[in-house]
Amino acid sequence: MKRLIAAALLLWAILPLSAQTVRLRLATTTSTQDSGLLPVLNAPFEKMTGITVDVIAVGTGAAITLGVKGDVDVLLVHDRKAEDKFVADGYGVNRRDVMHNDFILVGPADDPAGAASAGSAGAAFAKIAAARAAFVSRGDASGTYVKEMDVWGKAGLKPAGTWYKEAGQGMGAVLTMSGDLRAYTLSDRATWLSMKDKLSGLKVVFEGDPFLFNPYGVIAVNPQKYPKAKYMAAMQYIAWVTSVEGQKVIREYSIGGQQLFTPDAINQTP
Amino acid sequence: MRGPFGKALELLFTGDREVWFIAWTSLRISLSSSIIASVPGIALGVLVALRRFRGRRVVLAVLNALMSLPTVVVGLIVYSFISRSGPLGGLGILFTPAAIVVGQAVLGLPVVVSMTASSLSRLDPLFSEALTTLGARPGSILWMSVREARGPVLSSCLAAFGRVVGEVGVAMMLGGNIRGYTRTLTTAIALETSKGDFVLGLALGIILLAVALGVNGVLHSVVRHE
Amino acid sequence: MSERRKGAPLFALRDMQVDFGGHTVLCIERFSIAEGGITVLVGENGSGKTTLLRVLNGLIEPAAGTIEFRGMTRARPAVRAHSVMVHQSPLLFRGTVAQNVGYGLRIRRVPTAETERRAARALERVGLAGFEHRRASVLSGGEKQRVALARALVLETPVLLLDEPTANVDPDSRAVVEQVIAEAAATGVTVIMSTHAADIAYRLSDTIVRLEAGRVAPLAENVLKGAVESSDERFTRFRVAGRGGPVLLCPAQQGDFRVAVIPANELLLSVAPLASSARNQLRGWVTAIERVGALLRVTVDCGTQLRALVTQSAADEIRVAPGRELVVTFKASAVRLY
Repeated sequence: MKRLIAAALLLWAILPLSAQTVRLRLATTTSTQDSGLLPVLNAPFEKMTGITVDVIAVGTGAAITLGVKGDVDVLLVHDRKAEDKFVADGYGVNRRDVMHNDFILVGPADDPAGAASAGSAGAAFAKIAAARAAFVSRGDASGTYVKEMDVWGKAGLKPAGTWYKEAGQGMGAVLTMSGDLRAYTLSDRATWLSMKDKLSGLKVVFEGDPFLFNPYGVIAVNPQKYPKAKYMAAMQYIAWVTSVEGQKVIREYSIGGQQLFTPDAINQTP
Repeated sequence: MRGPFGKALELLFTGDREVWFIAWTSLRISLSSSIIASVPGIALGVLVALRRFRGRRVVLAVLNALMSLPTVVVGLIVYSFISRSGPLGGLGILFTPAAIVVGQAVLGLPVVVSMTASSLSRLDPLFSEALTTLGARPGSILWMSVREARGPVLSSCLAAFGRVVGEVGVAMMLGGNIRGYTRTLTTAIALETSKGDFVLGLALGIILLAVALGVNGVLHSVVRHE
Repeated sequence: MSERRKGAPLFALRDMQVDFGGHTVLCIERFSIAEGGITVLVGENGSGKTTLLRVLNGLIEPAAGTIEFRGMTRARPAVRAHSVMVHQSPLLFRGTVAQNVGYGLRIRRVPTAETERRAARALERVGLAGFEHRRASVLSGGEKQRVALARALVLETPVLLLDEPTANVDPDSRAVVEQVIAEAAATGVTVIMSTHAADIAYRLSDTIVRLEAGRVAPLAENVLKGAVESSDERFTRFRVAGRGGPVLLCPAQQGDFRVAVIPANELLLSVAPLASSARNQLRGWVTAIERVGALLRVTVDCGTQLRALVTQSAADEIRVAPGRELVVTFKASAVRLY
């Protein structure tokens, strides 16, 4: 008798492994997921359309790769150069601007390198390099890392030395590490806002330079390349995030009273 | 000062639906993959142990090597097959629980084969001869040998379960850590840890341990009739 | 698969060779076993007795040579159906005695009621009546061996191969096993067994085959069945069975002996009776002469067939030839009684 129950339980455990609803696969970045925006943004869409959005959060590089391989249906990432290449190479279609947040330089409360007084992001980085102050880098193919490299490039520097640590991890872990090491790091505002209460000893050291803008794009995977891609659902999703309602949800999303993202789509004129 | 144990208990007993669902997903997926790996695994293990064939040593060496592959690598290999741009892309199982089951079955299979083979090679070599002389066919010999070595064979299945329930490379690569769908305890732990919430990560780890202990306990009590 | 040839031996081996781990463990040029009776393989450990039994039962493949079973060459299915082997160590599997004994019948799809009946009978025969529900793992060595024997007997095959059936068995069980073997042979089952217990070999066997280092050694003993006629404090008189069977004088000993064994090289051949201390002198005539290595084996009929081993020159001196009348002389102490 015991064996029958065990066998029945086992069967029930194995069987429900396939889904019947339409599942739209969205590849996005870990920092986007960490910001907590997606459940809030996607819930009304799922209710309205009955489509389930499967969020696969990886680094920007991996998200683009998933798009190139056709394993997802729509991308939501923040790396304009990579996005443009993705479309130019024929893997993506119908790219739209969605929103932007910005990157900020966070660092130890006493700001040993004096980065707060810099006139631009590049200048702030240069001060850190000159002081050989500890700096933690994402060290992966993420949008944050790409932006960080762009700033170093603008400052005309190639960072190297024991003060410069490439972590190879997500934003949250890098922030925690910076807190522990009393180091500087470049972070997206959203992750910072959601974690700053836990990161004593760190503060926002530099912000506001338009160069630190972090714009997001949404792109559908090209159905000609991948006929099995859920193109119609992807277009519905793009419509939602760039719609008045969707943009409103984005604007109203906040952490601790602070708005994280600035919607961009509605400002575009056709 | 709320530690991970406290957090774990709190998550389980305040009925945090998401945590229960994640634990259930982990259990379901890893049980399925262990069973799917065990059935051919035991049969192959018996064959490797009892039949002398050329290249037997090679097979055993390959099995041992497979067991030391990082799970991410196994995940990558299976991904290249089931990706939409891969040969089996048409099946469309990537980023579903089924994909994790497949990947974990690949992880568990060499464990079952290798451990079953080693436990069966400790059976008296004349045992299968005694069965043959009584008229047993190869199928019956296989079954009787497994029955004789029942304890170690079960251990091999549990070892496979242990390997897969605690792995994260395959689950992440092939499941995508999709909330409410393919998020398992291990991928959730990886996520929370990367977000910096170490306490939650540890708490989920404790829950994972409890799940593994539970499975071990249940199976050992069911097959206790020696 | 050729048809069963009438009068074909049960097993016929030709140019057979069995190798293990690079060594040749069995090398037999020409050998056959007849249907019926008890054939006993004797020899030291490692002489190849077990290997030969396993080859006959089709459990191992020879590296070279052919084996015919009842005249058929590709006879594996027939061997499997008509013969069963009991290994030296019991090799029972987990479960009850009944499950073990009934295994062979169950896989032959014999109905449960009949399986139970036959198993009970087999267990009775080996003196383990009522043991059906005992767990095999808690039995003593002797009991386990008897269960293994019952497991084979229950199949009622015409051929039984037994490897050292009394080796791991306590003295009381030995008698039971011997009796079971004798009874089986009496019902027409061909028993081929190996042993290194000399008394069992001589008492039970109809034919003795001696193996030495993987080869069949030529017969070097005379094994004579009979019974003790009388015994006093000096000699025991043993009458050989058969018409005209001679009486052999043996050293005085007590016992119900049924077999007398005289080594072939203890027999002296002469033309005229010898004046010697030897107590046994028998007259007879030469019926066969065979070359065995460097020696000659001369068979002399003196009421029973006696074989003597002599050198060529010795044979020439007394002019051994078929039909020649000779005297066979041997000491009482040359005769061993079992």
